[in-house]
Amino acid sequence: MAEHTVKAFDEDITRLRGLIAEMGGLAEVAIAESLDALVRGDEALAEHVIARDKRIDALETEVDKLAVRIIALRAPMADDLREVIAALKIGGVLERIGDYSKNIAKRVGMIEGRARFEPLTLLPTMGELAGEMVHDVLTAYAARDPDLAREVIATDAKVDGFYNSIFRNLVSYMVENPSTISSAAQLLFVARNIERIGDHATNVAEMVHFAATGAYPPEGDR
Amino acid sequence: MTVIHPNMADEGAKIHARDVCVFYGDKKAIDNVSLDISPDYVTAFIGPSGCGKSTFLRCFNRMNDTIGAAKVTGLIELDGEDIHGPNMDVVQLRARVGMVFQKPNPFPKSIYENIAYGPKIHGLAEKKADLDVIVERSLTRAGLWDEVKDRLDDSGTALSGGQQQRLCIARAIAVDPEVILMDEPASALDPIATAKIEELIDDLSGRYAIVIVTHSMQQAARVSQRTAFFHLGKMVEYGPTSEIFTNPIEERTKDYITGRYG
Amino acid sequence: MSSIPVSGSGAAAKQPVGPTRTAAFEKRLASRYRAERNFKLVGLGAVIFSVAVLVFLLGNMAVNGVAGFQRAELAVTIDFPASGITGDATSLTAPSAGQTLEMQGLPDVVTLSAEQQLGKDAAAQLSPAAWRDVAAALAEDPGLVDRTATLHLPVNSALAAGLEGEGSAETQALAKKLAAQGKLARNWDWGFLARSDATAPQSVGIWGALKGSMLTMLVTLVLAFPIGVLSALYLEEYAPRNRWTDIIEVSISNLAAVPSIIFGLLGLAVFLALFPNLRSAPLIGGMTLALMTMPVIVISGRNAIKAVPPSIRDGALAIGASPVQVVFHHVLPLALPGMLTGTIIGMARALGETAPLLLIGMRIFVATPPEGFASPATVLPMQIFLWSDEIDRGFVERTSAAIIVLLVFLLAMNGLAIYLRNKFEKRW
Repeated sequence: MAEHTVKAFDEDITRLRGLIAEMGGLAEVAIAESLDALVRGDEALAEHVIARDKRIDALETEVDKLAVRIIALRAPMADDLREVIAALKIGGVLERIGDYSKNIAKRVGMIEGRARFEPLTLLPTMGELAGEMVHDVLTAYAARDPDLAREVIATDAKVDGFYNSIFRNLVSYMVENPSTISSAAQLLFVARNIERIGDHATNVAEMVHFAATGAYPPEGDR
Repeated sequence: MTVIHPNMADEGAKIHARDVCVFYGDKKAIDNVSLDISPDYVTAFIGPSGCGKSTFLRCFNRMNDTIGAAKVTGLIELDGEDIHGPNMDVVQLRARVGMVFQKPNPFPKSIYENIAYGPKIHGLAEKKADLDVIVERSLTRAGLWDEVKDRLDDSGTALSGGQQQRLCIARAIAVDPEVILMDEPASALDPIATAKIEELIDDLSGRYAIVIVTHSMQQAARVSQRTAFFHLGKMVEYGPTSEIFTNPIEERTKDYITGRYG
Repeated sequence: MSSIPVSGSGAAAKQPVGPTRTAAFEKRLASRYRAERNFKLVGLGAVIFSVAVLVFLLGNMAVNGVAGFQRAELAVTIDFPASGITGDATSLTAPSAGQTLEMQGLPDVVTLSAEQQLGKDAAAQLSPAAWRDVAAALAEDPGLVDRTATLHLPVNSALAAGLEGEGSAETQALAKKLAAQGKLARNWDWGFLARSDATAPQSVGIWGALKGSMLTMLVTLVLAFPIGVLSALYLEEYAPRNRWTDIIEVSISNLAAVPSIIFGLLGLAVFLALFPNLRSAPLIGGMTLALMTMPVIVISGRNAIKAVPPSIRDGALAIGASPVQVVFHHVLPLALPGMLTGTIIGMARALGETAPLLLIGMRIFVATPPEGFASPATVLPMQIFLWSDEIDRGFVERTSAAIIVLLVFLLAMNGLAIYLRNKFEKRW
């Protein structure tokens, strides 16, 4: 794509995209680390994740400010405009993804006797899948690739499937081992968080598609 | 290759142009442009300098006739009548298709005389009483009446730039045209005067078909409902303004409106 | 245009400020000021010099010319009833009154009266045409013929010179004696402005030439202005731009530079051949001068029309004015000041022209003012030229006086044109 005649405009867009990329990277790491902490019961790592969420929040504020300034001062049109609006919305979504990871990390200390938990082994896989969705959708964003975005949307079905099976698994575990209900309930919430992360990645994919093509992906994909 | 957006409702053509070419000597300034101007909307022509948008605009009231070296070919119809046909009188055409220029050019006469000149020479009013009515109506429609009603005998050139331009618009309205052509009407004005002109265009758009040439895309976006993008004498894309500026079809249009041109 | 700063980015480090007023700079500054001051002084000097020359010329002219508005006159009392001059209102005001009175012996009456009152010597110094003044006085006031009246009659050049302290000793003594008696004095000669050419300097007047100039200028204006203006309009607005119009443009520019005497030849060859019995008439003179003035009006007219901004034309065309309406309602009113300026220049030149009129015969001696455009006449510059050629010393002051009249006429004409131009001048 050709460069803007006013080079500073290109610089602004590049910085905006850079901020999103940075947020996305931090969100990915947060997902992986929070689940890692959960499985190993590593409370120090969990603290780390919680602390680093502040950085994601700060980046979201920066994205907001920069997007508003670009709109006011550069009067973006057509794909530039869609790009800026998409960045604005994606920033918000990534911040929520970060919050879900923080939420997962907060629950690390509340789970006892993890070695006995069979469902615990499913969660990392689900988490990896969600993490991959986030990774792919950020790649799609960087490449302005609507097709990759649509693939990410399709993947959400798998994550939902995972959630359903973990849910049933945990419920039956809780029924068999009533003493573990409080810890198992925490795992329910963790699963729910990961499922929400998947949904949000789908939102990001929709925005990527809109920024690239000017239209939202067709309904059938969801 | 010209892209005309689909889904534009069949709006009827106040001005119909087909395969219009304009030559300055050997140089081709306009290359086979065809489009229809709707009577209900404000149509904007945008494009980089020298793309021919002003030249094309001037075809509609045959102002290119005044330039010796210019030659216009192709068909241009106003309400179905060929404007180059033997039955069309140029003077009458210019009363039906008015024009407002980039730099305000009021006549060096009084404000009253500026407005009254057109109706007088076209025989629209003979008696002073009738002329008074026309002058008041035109100035009111142009949003200038309150500012000048007490000094109609002052010279037209003593007004501020924005007022002069509104005076020129009032002058164009006074002969009761059907179409108003505006060639960058606000480019010489400050932002407040510009905003007043844009508001005036909004007001007038219900009554007259308006075609505006502008080099400010923001202005085209604010003021028009249809936009045509010109490039090197060809019309590249023509469609509803909102679509042109949010999701244009042609790459050249997109490059131009996002500032990637040049 | 820098990128939008988001979080506090520091300002770029400032350049150190060095001294700007170095010695070399001061020297350059001083020489620049000096050059500007010198330029102003030179300009002022040029203006002062021009004004000084103008003041000197006009002053010289005025001082010399003032004397031309006076003449030495002898007071002579004439008893009309006793003299045998008869007449009534009709006969004394008729055009042939002069001849009638001459036949009645008015010249002798005048001489006799003068001899009786002032002595033979004085009477001999009376101007030979003095009796004409008496006739003029009678024509003005026929009732005079029934009364005795004292009239101031012009003397000849010798006595006039004697009054001034020049000429032979006898004349001077005579003049002194008569002046002491109160009979001889220099009076204001307003008749100068009412009389026409004559042989004696004391009896000449400028009115004949003035009227001739007025008539000639009128003819010139009526012919040159419309033709010039319409030609300029056609050439600028309607004529196609091709080789022919280029040739015409060059020809007109050259015409404006042609020596005026050539136009006289043209007038002689063409106009006098057409109207052979109108020799030295204002009509022929006017036509010749119109030929000369027209190119100037065309050139200035074209420039004035070119100066009308095309935006006015476009505005008028766009409102639906036809080309003729554009020209006459918009272009012409705006170009009129420039055209009037060109006309002033052309007419001023025509007023002062002698050479072309020489050739068509307007150098004749015209004793009566011209009655119409077809009667023989002369013009002011020509009159000045003729008088300056005369031997009689009295003509010197008359010539200066005539020059003053010419200048006043020129100023009046220019003043009128400037007034008209300012009236039509519009800002755009």
